[in-house]
Amino acid sequence: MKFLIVLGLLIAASLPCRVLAAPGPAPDDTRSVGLNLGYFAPLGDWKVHPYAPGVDLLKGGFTIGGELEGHLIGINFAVFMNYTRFRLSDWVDYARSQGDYITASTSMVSTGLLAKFYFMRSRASFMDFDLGFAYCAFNGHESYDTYSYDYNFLRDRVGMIFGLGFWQTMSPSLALTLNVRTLLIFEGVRYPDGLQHDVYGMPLTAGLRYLF
Amino acid sequence: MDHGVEISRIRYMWPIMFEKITLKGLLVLLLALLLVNVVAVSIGSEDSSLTVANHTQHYLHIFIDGDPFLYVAPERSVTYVSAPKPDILVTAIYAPGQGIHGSLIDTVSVPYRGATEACSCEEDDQWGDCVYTPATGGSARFEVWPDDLVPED
Repeated sequence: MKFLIVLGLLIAASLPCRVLAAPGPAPDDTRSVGLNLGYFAPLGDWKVHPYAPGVDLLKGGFTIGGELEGHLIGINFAVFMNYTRFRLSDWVDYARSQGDYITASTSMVSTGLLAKFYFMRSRASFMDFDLGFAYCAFNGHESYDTYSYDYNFLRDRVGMIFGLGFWQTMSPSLALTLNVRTLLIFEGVRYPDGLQHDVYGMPLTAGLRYLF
Repeated sequence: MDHGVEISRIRYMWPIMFEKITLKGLLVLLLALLLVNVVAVSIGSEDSSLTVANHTQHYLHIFIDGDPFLYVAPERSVTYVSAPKPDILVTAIYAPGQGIHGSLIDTVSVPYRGATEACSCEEDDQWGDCVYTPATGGSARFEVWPDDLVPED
């Protein structure tokens, strides 16, 4: 539900920009650098706590990142880096309800390369399909009683990323972007007793691009 | 000697030498590397390993020599591997959020043979060749039962 609300807010936020839209250069004819801000929605079993009933260990959180795009051998490539902060309030609150006071935090840094294929071109707006890979590094930590430990079941691995993007040029050098992507990391979670899950989630971001 | 002729001969011979190396030579080289690797592993130190099994009805956080093994499910086990050592420290606690508290701290002995160096004695009381044998470890298993976990205050 929160995911849909965020999606709606991002689309609503883009409407004034569409009114102000101005024709600009096609994104695959130029280079650009951008900043993205949004929400990462973890999906599937990997985010669920191993035993707490109906409790998510990791919930979605904000994501922020940068992207540098250029044209090479006939294809547009983008190098990106994102930082995502997960919320663990569900799990912390549940543990507290059971009489255990814990503090916990988890974040993920992902960096990688995307190939971008533009389609549905109009005078000032474009859509693109993105496909690439991302190296994802987790940093999870929990303190309980006198014990302090890392969430080493979250594994640093290479995953694949794909999705759709929307460009709205505002001027010859500025564009608004909306991106809906899916991140997939095979066996990204492996508990020491052998249980493992694939990690997947949807980063949903809005951003600004400077074209040069 | 005409160096120009020698150099041109080497240039001429090199592709032929390279062709000969590619088939037989490469295979021999790979076999040699494999053999060296096998020997290195067999004469190298054998690691120590400790398997800790959870026989409680709850999830445990197990720390073996400080390494965390989190959320070990009931009737599951984890294995820790390290350089050869005689003792391994095991700490186990009930993972939080289960409404139960208790901890266990124990030092587990694992099979271990320390490194040795044997030198032969020559006739004139001089030390001869020495043979160094690295330390070797072994495997052990440690079971965690509910009664082992002491309730905390």
